[in-house]
Amino acid sequence: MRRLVTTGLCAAAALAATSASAKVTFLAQGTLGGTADASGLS
Amino acid sequence: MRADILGGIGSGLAYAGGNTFLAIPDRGPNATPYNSAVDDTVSYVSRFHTLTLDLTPSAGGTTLPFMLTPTLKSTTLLYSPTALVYGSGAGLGNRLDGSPLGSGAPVINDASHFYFSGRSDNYGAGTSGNAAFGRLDPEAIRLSNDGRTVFVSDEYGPYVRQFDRATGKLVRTYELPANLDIANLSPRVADEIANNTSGRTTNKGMEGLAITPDGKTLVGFMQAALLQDAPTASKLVRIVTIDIATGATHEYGYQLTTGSGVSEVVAINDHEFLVDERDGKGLGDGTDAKVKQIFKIDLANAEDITTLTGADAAKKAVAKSATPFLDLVSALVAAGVPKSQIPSKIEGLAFGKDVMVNGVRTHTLWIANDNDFLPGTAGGSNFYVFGFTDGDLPGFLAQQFGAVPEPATWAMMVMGFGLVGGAMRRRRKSAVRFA
Repeated sequence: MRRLVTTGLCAAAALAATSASAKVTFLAQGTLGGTADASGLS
Repeated sequence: MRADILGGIGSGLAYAGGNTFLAIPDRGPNATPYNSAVDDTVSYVSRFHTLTLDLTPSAGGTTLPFMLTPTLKSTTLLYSPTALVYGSGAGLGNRLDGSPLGSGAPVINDASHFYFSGRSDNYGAGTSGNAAFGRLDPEAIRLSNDGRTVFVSDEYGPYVRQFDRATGKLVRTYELPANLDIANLSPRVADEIANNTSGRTTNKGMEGLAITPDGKTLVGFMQAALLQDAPTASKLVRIVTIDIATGATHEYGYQLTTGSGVSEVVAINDHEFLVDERDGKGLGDGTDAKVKQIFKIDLANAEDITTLTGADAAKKAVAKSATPFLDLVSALVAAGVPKSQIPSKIEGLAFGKDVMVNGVRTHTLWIANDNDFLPGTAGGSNFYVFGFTDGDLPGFLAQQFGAVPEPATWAMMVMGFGLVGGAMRRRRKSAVRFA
């Protein structure tokens, strides 16, 4: 793990600012059908 | 009940390059009452599935920009080449047909294949971390950077086990810190919780697992507080990092916001991660979905809490975004999905390949659910895909998969090297002649 020298408080503040700007877009959804898998078990 | 029943595949989701993903179900069906002495668990053989998840641009006028087509390609059963410990079933009641419960050893076992299964009595003497126990409750899966092995975390041990991707054969079991283990084992959740004061809370073991993009570190997440932490720090969830090469571990603390536990974690880079925090509300619970939030954390400046307990450990909790990177309930409701139709158990997270959205290269985050093998009440095996840019998640690095040539590719490479070698030999001869 990389180690930074910032304090935990500073790191937390930076994270909050980052997340507030996120614009996540819903692109797609889908469902896997079927009742049996490909294991070959019965 | 058939042994090839498809369900619960979103307990963990891993990206495998291109349009390929790996999905893992947990310990199998245990919602149909038949034997409370083993919490209705069955000898469901642990497995993972290889899927393709294809995105194609939607036709004009549709709500979402892409159509998603999931296809099941193969199923790989997980086994140990050396003997595992299974329960005999003695004194644990009967099957549905009235016959004795019998051994928990899967019937497909042979002299070199000892399969892991979900039966809760598949253990022996010792603490829950004994690597020889045959019970496995997989909750997360990640692919090694060379593409050859998978890492699986579980709730029973907790364990992190490494399997050969092609065969499902156990390669290695990582030794996790002893403070995660419980000492007094039972086939029943309630008894294990009542009879222990230290270790993982039964059924809330290592739910999440990430691998850093460089393929060097695994990051496991317990689902809820350890028994020894809970009295003074009920919202403290332990993170366990594992150096893949050396097996060295560290523990860090995560403080829950409003969720009741953590179900998955995925790496943004070598020190930042997205964490799937949720409650039990939603489809499958008969209620409206409430908390399905993905927070960002940073371990860069985190302090090891391995030797700390409870409130002392909670004081060292890692840096966490004040607001979620993604509030899944809000996002799905905004797209017209009723809260009652949002799965309660959102448990799979993976980054996938980039796509172009309105001319902009966009990273993708894939989300899956565990339907507990109950499509009638908990819905199907669903996947939700979200897009984000570098500006939304600075520092994002995709996992770096090395090429694993197929046999045909090796043959082409050998032929290619031969041709290059021949050309060089001819060129050397020419150089000598004209020098």
